[in-house]
Amino acid sequence: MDSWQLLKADKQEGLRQIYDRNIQLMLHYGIKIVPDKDKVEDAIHDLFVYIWDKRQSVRCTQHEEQGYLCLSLKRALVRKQKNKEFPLESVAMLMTTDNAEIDMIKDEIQKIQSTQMNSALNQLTSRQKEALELRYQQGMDYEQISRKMNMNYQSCRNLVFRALSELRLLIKPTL
Amino acid sequence: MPTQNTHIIQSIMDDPLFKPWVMTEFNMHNSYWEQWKDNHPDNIAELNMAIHMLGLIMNSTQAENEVMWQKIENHIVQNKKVRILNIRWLLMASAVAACFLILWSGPQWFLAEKKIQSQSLVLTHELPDGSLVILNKDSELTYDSKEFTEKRVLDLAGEAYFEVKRGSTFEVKTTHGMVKVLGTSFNVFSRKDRFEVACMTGSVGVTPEATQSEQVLKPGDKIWAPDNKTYIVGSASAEPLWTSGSFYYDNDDLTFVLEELARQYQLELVLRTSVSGRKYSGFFTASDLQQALQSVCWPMHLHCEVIQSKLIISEK
Repeated sequence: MDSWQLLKADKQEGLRQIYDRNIQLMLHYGIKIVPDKDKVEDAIHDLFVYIWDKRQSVRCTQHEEQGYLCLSLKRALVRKQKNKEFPLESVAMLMTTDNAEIDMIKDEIQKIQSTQMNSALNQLTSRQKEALELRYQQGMDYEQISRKMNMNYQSCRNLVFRALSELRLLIKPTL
Repeated sequence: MPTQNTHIIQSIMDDPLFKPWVMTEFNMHNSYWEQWKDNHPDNIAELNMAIHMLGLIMNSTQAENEVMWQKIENHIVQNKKVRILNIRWLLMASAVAACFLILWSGPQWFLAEKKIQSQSLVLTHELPDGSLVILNKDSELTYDSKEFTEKRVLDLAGEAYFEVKRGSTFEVKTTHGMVKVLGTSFNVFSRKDRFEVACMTGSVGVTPEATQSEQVLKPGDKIWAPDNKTYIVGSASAEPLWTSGSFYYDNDDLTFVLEELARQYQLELVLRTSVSGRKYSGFFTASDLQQALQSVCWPMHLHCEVIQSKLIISEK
């Protein structure tokens, strides 16, 4: 079952998968339109809440989700810029698919992806990335990470080890 | 052996002197790492790889994305409750009709009650009237989302910073007392036996449970009870520093400081020695446990260790 079908079946996990796959792209794309991270994050928040509320009527597939999400985000941001505040119901018309506009957005998506998305770190699983960040960015010890990520101490060390060794191969496959 | 290489990289990255060295453009602890290079001439490639990886990880935003998701999830879960009710509407029509009579007459409509618990995160929450609350870890906020714009009343357990939109009276109730304002920003701390309110802008009326008399605070004022009985007004810092992850203390109870430290790192405090009556001046941050322990325990000549999820404090 793909994420959008999961979503239709009232499984929150579906929304989570869509979020994980697209959040990085949406942030980059959003910031290009409105260079204000808080506003972009707010709009993304509203959009995902909206998608959840309207999960039975949203028509989208995994194949076309990038264009769909970016277009919806763009419209939400533009509208928010114009009116300052916009009622959530008005997002309804944002979620219609407009193929011409999506085609235009696709070029930009490709550009963002070739630079940001294919960076080595983004090829790790989200748990691997999370573990690396907690350990080395936030300076937690393995004990704290294992509690936070709900796993035992040894698997936590292993997770960090695997993440590092994959990252190493992605950076320099020849080393 | 690629596995062997990764083990070396991991041990470099786990070295507590590694990140400070890289982050200070190789200034701090440089002699240590020069020495390391001399001792490990065959592992220079691993060292360079570790530096490269740390750079990548420092720029990662996974944790931020996770916090954003949590907010979406919180929002969705609240909506879910309402949805279930809608679906069962027809089945429960008669029951609901009966309930309405009771609900309309009673002011506490249980479905409209909104509870926000921060647990291990610092949460920023927007109230229905547009006011902002920053909730410190392990704190809880409850209010009636239906009535809130009309009657701005909420319950707080723990600590929170408020930025209140101008309007009708805004009330914060705690077990230790009540805080009343019109439109202002202020901080409320209410845990165990301590109650503290600091006013940043505007004016704030505070009625401690113990005295039942209202005290009005001006910007820069703070009310607290040094002996937990009589309340006095003194000066507060210009902004609540905990909202940016720093905790400052001026001649404050050491037990209280250690409790906050343990809370910030979600540890259970175990005191193997009595610290009551001892005072601490200084600060710690919520981002680096080792450093935080050092800045509190070292000047107080205490020995501390973290075992599992316990913070154990003993005499040196």
